[in-house]
Amino acid sequence: MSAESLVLLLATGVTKGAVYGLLALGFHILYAATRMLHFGYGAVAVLAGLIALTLTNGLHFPFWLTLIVIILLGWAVGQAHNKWVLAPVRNRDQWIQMIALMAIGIVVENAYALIWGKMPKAAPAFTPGALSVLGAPVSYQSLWIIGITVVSVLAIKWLLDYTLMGKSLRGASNNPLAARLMGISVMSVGGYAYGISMALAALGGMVISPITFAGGQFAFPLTMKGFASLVMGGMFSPIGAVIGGLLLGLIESVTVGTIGSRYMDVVSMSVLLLFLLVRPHGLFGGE
Amino acid sequence: MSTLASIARPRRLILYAILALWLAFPLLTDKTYYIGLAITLGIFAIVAIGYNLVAGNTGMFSFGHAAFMGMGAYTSAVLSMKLGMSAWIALPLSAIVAGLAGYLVGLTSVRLGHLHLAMATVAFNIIFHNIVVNWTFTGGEAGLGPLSRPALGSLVLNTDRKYFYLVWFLVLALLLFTRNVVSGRIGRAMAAAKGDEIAAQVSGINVITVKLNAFALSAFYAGIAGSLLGYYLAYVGPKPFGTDFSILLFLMVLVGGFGSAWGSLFGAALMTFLPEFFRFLSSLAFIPYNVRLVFSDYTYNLLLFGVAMYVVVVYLPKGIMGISWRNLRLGKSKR
Amino acid sequence: MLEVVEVVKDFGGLRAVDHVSFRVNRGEIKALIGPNGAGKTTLLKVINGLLSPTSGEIRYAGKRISKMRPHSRCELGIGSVFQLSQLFRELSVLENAMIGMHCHTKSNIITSGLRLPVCTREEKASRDKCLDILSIVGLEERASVQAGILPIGQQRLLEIARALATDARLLLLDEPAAGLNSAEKEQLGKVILGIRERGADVLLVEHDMELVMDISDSLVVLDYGKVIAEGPPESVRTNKAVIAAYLGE
Repeated sequence: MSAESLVLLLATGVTKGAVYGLLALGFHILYAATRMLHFGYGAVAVLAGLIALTLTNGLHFPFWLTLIVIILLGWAVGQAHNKWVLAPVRNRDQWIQMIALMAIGIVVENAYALIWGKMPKAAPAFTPGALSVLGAPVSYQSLWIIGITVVSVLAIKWLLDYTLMGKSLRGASNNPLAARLMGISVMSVGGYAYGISMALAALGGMVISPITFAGGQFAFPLTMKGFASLVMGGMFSPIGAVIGGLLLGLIESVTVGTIGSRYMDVVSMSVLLLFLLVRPHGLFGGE
Repeated sequence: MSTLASIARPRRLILYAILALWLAFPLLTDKTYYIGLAITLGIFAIVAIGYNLVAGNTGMFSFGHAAFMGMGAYTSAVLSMKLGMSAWIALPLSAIVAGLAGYLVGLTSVRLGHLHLAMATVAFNIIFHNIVVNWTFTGGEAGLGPLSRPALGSLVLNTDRKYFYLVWFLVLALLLFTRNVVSGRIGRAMAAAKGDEIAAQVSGINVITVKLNAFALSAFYAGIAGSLLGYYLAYVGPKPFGTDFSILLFLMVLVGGFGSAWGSLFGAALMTFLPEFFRFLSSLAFIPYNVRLVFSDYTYNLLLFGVAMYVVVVYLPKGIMGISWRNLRLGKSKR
Repeated sequence: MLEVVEVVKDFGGLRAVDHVSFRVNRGEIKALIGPNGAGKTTLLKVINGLLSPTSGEIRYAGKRISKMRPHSRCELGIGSVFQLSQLFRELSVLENAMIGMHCHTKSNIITSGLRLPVCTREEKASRDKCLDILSIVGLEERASVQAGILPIGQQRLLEIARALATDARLLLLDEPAAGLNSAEKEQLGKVILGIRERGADVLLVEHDMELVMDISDSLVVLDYGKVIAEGPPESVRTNKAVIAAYLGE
């Protein structure tokens, strides 16, 4: 394989992997703190991508402003989930909450399809153009994505280690009962967990749309890839989530490079099933 | 599941009467449209009954059952078209293949809990759909066809009327089979596994095996339904076997009521007649256009289903069959 | 029949069971007593397989069972009744008992579904046996009642019936008298003695001293996870260390 194709492969893999890592991180925080998986997670990411598109193209926001708005919107959506969507089902069985979340995901997905249409749209890169590395084009958007991911992961790490919010999240993750006994309410943990995870979803949705598309039918596959990354990396490890994402991204780009893009999802989903079968706690996990 | 024996005598007679009427109606009408609906109803009922075994009696959820239907349908198509196998052999074989697939999928995650299992079923659905759409062997987007109707010697089931009897014979047979399983040793084990896993384990039940077998059985039923659909339409294509459809199947059982045979029938009826109802509503000129769009546009439909799913799971988690003042959960409940 | 050999169970930094050893012999009713938090329930869970020991061995009828899963141990003959109700509330009394027969019966999906004679015969035999067991604990009149609505004394008896239906040769009972009134406790005592008569051994964790002294053949006393006394009721009752442990809390 030539150096050029290798670079291309690595670049695409790491770029997509970084986004999957972001999504997986959000998924991880949600799961660790609330033991819940949100099937509509991908829908929120795609929605964010569409809103970002409208803000940038329609309202001519500079991209850094869009970025901030999107993150805040994600946080807000998370709070809405925690306060209103989950309110009637808070004390009920786990499956009921799971279905309620899925239902909202379906509503969101079809709502944005109605507003923005079902066709995927092209989104402008933050900085147009590309860099040439060993003869292969590496877009500036890729660099942005990688950079944003690194910053986000560090920010989350800081949040988890040094803030009160982070400590309550970690407490809830390690020992839900003890956390509650110490006065950390389920409601506030939920608020933090959903807030952060939806913000990450929104961020991921926004940064990936220039490379793939904004909108379209990608919600469910995105959710599943977030989950796959999480399983591979370890459901209880934030670093694992990110590494799982990178791994998935690389697996996908290798698949596209060899077999072609048609069976890409088959391969990534098969890897998920394989991990569930033989190593459900992932590479870095342990409960 | 309430058994026939537990229903009071006069009610039972009414039930038999309804059954007799139902079985007789294809002989009384020529409208293939209605018979066709009844066939579709039967097919969905088979899936629903199997699905209920998993969700209602054993407490597991799958969002990938359309893929098991697809496995049944495609296997039948391949066996009949490419190997010239008779439908009477192809159908059970396909169902077994579907059941096997269910077993393997279950193997990955039954021991890991609801959430993981649900994700695994979606993963399988994506894999299945992706493969059949892209593989030339399965006909890609165009699918496989034409499939000839099953034949018993010289008797070919080439009219809807004859096919109706095949489908409903299977529905009744499977209902009976399911009832037998549920009221026997395995059914008790499933109920125990659903009620309290730990208690079940210390009572000697290997919960994982019970759950796996239940899951495989439900995939088997879905496989039968899929094959029946294929032979009916004389064609098998990727469209009805994607993740959207799996979620609709789930919704069907949720609304009908988990664990209830009547619920399965009700859910199947909903699944069959709702599209017709929507089509009817969207043709009524006196309803303003915007409102009519809700019924005619597929995306609006799905939105509506999402809302319905939320409302049902929050306020009526036991489905229609569970309606009683006690089960209607209005407002914030603290169990 | 049951040998607990140097069992240790740690939870992170906490040692709940500290080198405990004792035996339950054939036909013996042994009671495991001690102040709250002494590790008694933990020990029971190690014996029936819900927890695995950090070190040490459990031997049953000479076999090492420490690596076996709970349902396999049940198949060997270890039955458990726990304090938190483990009834299947939606099922009837009879169905609850019949669940106990699961590991000794064979009907599978195919034979049950097709109603093969092999299956119907087995069902009938199970029903008869369970009705029999229900009459031992005094519940045969309520066979078709939904288990969830039984008063707590009868629920306890039903759980014992279910454990008996598993053909248990060793019955582990965790605080069976909890929440029972004196009449129910008396009934419970009789049932436990009846169980011994049918050839099963009993290991009983209990706080109710009257019941314990009444029916046990020997006692093991735990405090902070360690065995501090063992022997027949009378000698344990007057043992200084035991008195100190109870009073010292």
